[in-house]
Amino acid sequence: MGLTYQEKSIWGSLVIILAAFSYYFAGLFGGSSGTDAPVVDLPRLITVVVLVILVEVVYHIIIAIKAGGAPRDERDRLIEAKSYRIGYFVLSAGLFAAIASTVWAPEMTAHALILSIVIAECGHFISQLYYYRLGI
Amino acid sequence: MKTRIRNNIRKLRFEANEMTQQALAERIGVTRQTVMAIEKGKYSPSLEVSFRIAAVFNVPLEEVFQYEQPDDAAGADEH
Repeated sequence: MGLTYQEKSIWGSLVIILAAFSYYFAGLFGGSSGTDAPVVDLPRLITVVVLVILVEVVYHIIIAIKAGGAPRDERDRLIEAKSYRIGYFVLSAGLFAAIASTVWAPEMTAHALILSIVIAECGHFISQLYYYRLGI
Repeated sequence: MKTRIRNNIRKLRFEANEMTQQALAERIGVTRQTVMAIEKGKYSPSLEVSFRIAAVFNVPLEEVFQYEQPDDAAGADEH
């Protein structure tokens, strides 16, 4: 069975966010020295977020036009709600790790927070794809 | 306590001039994938969607969905 509009939307969002934040973290840590952790590059982070939004909008317009419109039904909403719960737990775990980092590696706390959000979003998308492939 | 709901939607579709899943989906306001998931027993629809399905085939709700009672042994353990 081919991908539904919802699955294409989720795959696209997952790839976009992984690509964008791989670029962000690679640029941040790629040029840093071995001992000093880089500070948060706010202009770069804002650029990445804006680009993610723009690419998402364009991508979703394209797939919506190709799909001819596919409104979400009750099953889509249920899968989304279940996946938000999983994303919440992942985010909570990441936040606890970030809190712990204030003790052991305070310079990494901001990065841990950003990474927590990214991983939680990925967890949200991946769990949605899992439920869709499971056919529930 | 594990419960199970069975349905006759596939049979009813074929009896209704071989209605497709897509056609049924459009009439009850869900996606074709949701109809597929309901037929396979992987997803239990809401009451509203259940009643819409019954209305499409013009049959009582009980003719579309059947509720299987949990095992007697499991019921006895609870008491």
